[in-house]
Amino acid sequence: MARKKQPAVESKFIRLASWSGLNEGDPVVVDSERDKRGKFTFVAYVENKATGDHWIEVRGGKPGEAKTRSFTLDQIYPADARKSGKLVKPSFVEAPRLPL
Amino acid sequence: MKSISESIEINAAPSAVFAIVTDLPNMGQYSPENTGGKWLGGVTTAAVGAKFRGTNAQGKKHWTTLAEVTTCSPDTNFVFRISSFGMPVATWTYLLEATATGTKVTETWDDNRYGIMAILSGLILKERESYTRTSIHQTLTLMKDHLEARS
Repeated sequence: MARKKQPAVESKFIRLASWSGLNEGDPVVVDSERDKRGKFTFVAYVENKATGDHWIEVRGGKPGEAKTRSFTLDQIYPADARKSGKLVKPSFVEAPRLPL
Repeated sequence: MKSISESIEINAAPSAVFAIVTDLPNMGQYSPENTGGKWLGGVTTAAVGAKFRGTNAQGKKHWTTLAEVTTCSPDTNFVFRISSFGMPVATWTYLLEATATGTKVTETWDDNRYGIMAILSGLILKERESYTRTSIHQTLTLMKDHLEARS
């Protein structure tokens, strides 16, 4: 018997693999005491359509880790933003980049 | 950071004006750009922290924005911030002052775009400033007409 075609389920989330000049896989620095020594790459900007909440997904962690983690937008900095443990450049929200 | 502001005197009580400016789902009745939208996260009315998905149109262009209410002082002050995919875009402020004949409303648009985004959007949307000025004027005038027709 032929299966009935199910209507497409609309996602609850908006997911952007490009955001503020970042593309999936681009290295980023995360402003988090716990993850100070972690290495991360950008995965996606995610927005909950129902609540308007938004966050950034990154992948990485301590050397050898490849966990997907979520952070607030203002915690995401360019890969060269950390010098001697301090953040010396503005975050992507403070200084957005263009998808060039 | 640019800022555009305009005031109008409306022959209506501050509470009536406040009810209109905080009714974001019906803002499309007055604004030439906004076509409405909906409160998010189960919220049904304006309050600090409430989020609103606004729908906008200009000619054939359609887009949505996210607004978050930052100030909501009954009958005096209503402020919300607009962002697009997490990027700050603008802040809209409505200041209400009681007068002898009604309410003086001041609507202000503050440009919150940063750095290169501000420069490039300034080049692309050179007319944005004058458009916003016209838009504020139209919004306030239609609010005034609506409220004064009721009284």
